[in-house]
Amino acid sequence: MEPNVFRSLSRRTLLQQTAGGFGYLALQALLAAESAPTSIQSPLIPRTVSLPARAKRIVFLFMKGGPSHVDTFDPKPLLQRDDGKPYPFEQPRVQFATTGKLLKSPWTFRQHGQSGLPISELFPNVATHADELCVLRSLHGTNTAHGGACLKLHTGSDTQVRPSMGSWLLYGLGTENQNLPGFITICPTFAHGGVNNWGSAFLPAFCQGTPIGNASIPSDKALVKHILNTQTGAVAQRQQLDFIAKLNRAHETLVGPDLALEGRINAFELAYRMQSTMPEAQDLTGESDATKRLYGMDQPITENFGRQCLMARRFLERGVRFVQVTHSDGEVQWDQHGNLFKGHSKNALEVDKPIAGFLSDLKQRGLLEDTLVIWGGEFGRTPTAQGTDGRDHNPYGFTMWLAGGGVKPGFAYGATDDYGYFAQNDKVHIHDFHATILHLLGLDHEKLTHRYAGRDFRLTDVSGHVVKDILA
Amino acid sequence: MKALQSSIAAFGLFLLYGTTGFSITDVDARGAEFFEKQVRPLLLDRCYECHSQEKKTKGGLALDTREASLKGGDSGAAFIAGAPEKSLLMEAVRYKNRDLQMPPKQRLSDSEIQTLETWIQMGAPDPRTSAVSPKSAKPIDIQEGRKFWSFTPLKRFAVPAVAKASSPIDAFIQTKLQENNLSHAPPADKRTLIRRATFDLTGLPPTPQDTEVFVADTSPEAFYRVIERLLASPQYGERWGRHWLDVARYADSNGMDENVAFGHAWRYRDYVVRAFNEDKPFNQFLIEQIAGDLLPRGEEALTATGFLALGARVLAEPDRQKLEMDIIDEQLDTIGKTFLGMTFGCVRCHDHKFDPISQEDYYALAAIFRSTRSLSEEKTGAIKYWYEHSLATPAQRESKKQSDDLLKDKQTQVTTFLSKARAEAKAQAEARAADYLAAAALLPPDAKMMDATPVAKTFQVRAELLLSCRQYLEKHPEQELFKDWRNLAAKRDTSTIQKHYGEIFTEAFKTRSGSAYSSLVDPKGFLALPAKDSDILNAATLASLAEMRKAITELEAARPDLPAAMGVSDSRIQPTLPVHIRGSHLTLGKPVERGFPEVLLTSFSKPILPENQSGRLELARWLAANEHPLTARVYVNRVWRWHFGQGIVKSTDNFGTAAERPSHPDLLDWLARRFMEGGWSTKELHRLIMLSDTYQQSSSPGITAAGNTDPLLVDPENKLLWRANLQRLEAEQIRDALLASCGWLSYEMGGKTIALRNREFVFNHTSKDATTYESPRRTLYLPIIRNHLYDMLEQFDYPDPTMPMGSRNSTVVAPQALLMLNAPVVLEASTHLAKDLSKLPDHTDRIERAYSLLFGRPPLARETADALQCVRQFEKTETTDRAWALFCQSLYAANEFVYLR
Repeated sequence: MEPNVFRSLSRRTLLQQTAGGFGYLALQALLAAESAPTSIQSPLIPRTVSLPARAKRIVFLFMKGGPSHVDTFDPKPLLQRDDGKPYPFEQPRVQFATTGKLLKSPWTFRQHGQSGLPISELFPNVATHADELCVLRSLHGTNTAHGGACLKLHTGSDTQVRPSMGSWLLYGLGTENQNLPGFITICPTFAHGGVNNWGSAFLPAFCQGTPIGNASIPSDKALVKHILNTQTGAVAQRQQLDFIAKLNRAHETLVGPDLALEGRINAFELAYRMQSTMPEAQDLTGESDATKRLYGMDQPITENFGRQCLMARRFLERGVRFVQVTHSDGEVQWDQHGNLFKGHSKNALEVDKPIAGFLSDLKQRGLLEDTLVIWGGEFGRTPTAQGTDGRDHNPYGFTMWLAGGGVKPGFAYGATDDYGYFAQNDKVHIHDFHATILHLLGLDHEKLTHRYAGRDFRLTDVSGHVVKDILA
Repeated sequence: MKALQSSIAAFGLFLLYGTTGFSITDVDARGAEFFEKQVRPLLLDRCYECHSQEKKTKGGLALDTREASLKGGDSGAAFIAGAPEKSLLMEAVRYKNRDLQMPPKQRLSDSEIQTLETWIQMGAPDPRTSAVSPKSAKPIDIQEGRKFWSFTPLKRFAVPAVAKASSPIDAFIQTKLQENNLSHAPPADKRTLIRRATFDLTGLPPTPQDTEVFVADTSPEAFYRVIERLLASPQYGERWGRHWLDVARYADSNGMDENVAFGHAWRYRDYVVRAFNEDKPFNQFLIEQIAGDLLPRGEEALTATGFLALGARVLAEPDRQKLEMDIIDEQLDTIGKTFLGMTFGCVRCHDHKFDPISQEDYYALAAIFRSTRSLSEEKTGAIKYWYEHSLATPAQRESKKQSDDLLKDKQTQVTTFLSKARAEAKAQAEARAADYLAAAALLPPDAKMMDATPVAKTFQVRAELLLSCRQYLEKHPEQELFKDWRNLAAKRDTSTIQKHYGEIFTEAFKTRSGSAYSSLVDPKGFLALPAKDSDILNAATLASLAEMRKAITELEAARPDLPAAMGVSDSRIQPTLPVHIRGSHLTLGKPVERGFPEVLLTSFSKPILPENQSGRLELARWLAANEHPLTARVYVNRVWRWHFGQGIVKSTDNFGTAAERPSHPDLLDWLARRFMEGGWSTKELHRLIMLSDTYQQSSSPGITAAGNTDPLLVDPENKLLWRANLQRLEAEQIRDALLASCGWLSYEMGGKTIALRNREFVFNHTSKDATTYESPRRTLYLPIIRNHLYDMLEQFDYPDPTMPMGSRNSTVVAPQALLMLNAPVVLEASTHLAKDLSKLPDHTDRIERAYSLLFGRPPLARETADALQCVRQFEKTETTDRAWALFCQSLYAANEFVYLR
């Protein structure tokens, strides 16, 4: 693909700035009339990519707070053996807080599936999908604090405001449903980077993520801002839209044809349609009881996250390019500096069944093969103890897993050291992770650039390698 | 230092070979063979991908030629022949140093490490002769760089002689138009013009009365009078101050990792509004913002340094040194973009790729800010805080001290009360020690709360204490005192236990000595009190405790923050700062002295900076000097952009070589010169611009005269200004106009408007939004919460408040339409306006009133008819009030309301 996908557009600033809602619609017709180059299209019309795309869309199951890898997907026999002894290697130069001796995992690991992937008893249901998972055990970032680490994971930068990965995807690929946002984030958290984690920064505004609710409200109350028309009856609102269009046409005769004005007329029509397409996509009443049970929606403990996952599936089905589902309770999320046993047990219980159901559902609907599923938090946790029953932040080595489109199933890649503190073999930096997911979607991370403030920016800044060994 | 080592090392290596009689290519056969068989394949396989002149030379290191290997990289020589223990290469491959591990993805095997060690021990024999020419970066050519248009001194252009031009600006603009066979559009009609000028200068719509007065005034000075009235209104400063806040990346919260409130930022905001209203000369305005603390000008100037403090920072960055360099980077980037239109951010890590700015230039500036204090010494956990100037009077400080003392007293009272209550609880437990032992006898060794509760009830003791007593007895089988208890407990003989231990403890209390007594009073003994107060204190005590704590919380909440201004001050002066290789404070290069970017130096001598000051004042004065090639150009271009919607240089924040060139370079220089000659007066600049035909022309092109070209074909982007640009209102203008037109708007100015204490969390982990935007104040005064902007601002292209932005976008996206259809603020304004209109009995009058309020013109007869019909249609399904509200909302949603012709 072209180094800058909007190069052909940049000749016309107006074009960059006026997406008639989520698509260009009438702008196209106008442009054609102006003998524009034929390559000009809506910025969000799906684009074909030159690399072979292994997945068409992404769903990111974000475990806010930092789940412990040594208690979930990265078993460490030596940690079990040396419980209570000091960590035998040098600890990081700068620590978030001081931690004590090695703390063994209170959970046992078993091998699952034909692949024999070891998964702890925290995830009994996800474990039934062991043969679908591609576990990356050697992730590493740089930032030890939640905010910096969240920003790094979502945007590739923990020092400046940069576009989030979903925005880059939209920028590079467009989206398949012009009546829905192309990047949706379900119940995101406002803390620790907040909007910047789904913001488009210097990319065009239509690349920004659309939040549905936030982490402080239950998912059945989660809505896109201003999507509900509470005061006006349907008939009157239709009449109102027609009246606005009439006013706008009158205005146009005063000023002459203008792309932005035309775009705005379309934006109102799209907004009007979104009032029904969004609630329809979120409406789960048509889903069978069996499906709801599959996602754990029949149990109070899994109901909330199950609903988020089921909504995600409906958005994916409708062609949304990037969906993020955040698991974040109102308390400390996965951030167990203390109460590791209780906290992680509760968190895992809340997500295990829904995630397993989600994977099954994607698979049975044929969606899994071209959907990339990502699971993980902003960092892992230390193998050393904080207090007697807690672990501190650990960005130096942690686990994320992928499933679906284009990754080796039933496969574990990379390793941390013997105790799980530092990534050691086949290390995967956050930039490598980003390079790889872009690659899976058919984008070359070195070529997906945007010129801003005098230089070309990338999701991967100036580094990043595609982790070829995990590609199916 | 490391660079120095590197050259010595390399030199030493040459010497070594030289004195032993080898020529550099004459390596003994054994060494050559070892290299070819063992080392070269290893380098090829594991190192060349990132360290070869053929591919990449990360960290400046290439290992694919002998010369490059010997030279080493940014951190110094890769190895010292014969001394593996002193070689960086060995340190890196051994993976012992967390910050230096190569290859980064996967450690070499032990045998591979051994190979390298042996090779270096052997003297690093290297038979490679092929000399790939090093791909060295082209050094920056300052002399050549100075020739770039924006770095050259301002030129003196004569105003071109154009027959029809009524102002110098028109002369420049028309010359260019004529060259392209184009001409200005006809003048805008008066209603359009006053709407444009009023929104432009005050951010508000003209009142119908303003409009009618202007229409009725047929004198040639009519528009001049409008401009003067608007410039004199306090709303002018609110509008143009807001423009400046865009480039000052103003916000009321930090955003980034920890979103805590900037509880004092509003003082800077109000300072900016005042500066515009007072028409503070721009050069003075600049100096105050960069070095106000070094001027003898008091609070006003201290507040101005908020400009340097408002940046978004990763406050919980654990590495303070890195945080300090991050802050400096943000400050330099902001100063660069805001005042110079230069992007300094990239130069932190390497020489600028496009502009003649070297890393030395960057660290010369950084040294000035390294000598500046931007962080306070206070912190909360991992969170560090920005520096603040205290503005408190002695009386305020005294009153704060008093309330601090009062608070401390109250806290002491709570502590005293609590320890007394706990002591009493302990004494009560001790008095009933025998009963606790008896009750414990009925509990199983692994008793749970559910076992203890009924037993405690029977014995009238505290269940929590009983449980911990039972657990204690289980854990301490060695204690002699409880030997009898164990025997009796086995038989569940509670009455004997009560009697036996009753006697022992009575005796113990009498003698106040002995092992039984020590056990009784041991705070960690069998009657140890559970830590939770609610487990041991009675309801009445707990209630008074809660009461006391509530009083403390209220007292804390009521205590105002002492007045302070965010800002900077000088800190320990550091005359030099080392270049940070690749921007890392862990790899330092050669030190550079404080200074200014060489390419911009207006004289050939280096600036002399005082020993006892940071040099910020000198930097500010240099920036504000009349000779500076960029400052005035950048500022007049900003003002031009804010008037016309498009700058003479389109990229208002980038005047570098990668940016577009000015459309009218002569006009830009003429304006900049005129601006400085007029004493850097912004208001004078407004007059100059707004009184031109160029400003006053219509946005609709006139009929193209025969023989003239169609302007849409020649200049579709209107770079040459053959018409006025159609401009969408900015977010603040839309909301302010909504509020103003329905009579809701409050004209109150300034003051603290964020409902949070200084440093208070906007969001903690709960994601609950405590900020409210329901206010009749102008949008300027709504809280600017980074990471969580008010949705109206966010949707209508309010710029990211973490970076300077001189040219806002004007996007059209569907969520804006959703907002206009469904957002409470729009619905309420519509209802309000409809109510206002309902006072007019005649429906036609209502429609005329609405049109003049919102569109600044009377409706055409056809429009009135359409409107009346529409209201009647609404009335079929909605109430009459709602029908009129829907009509008003439709006008608010219409293009004519949100666009300026």
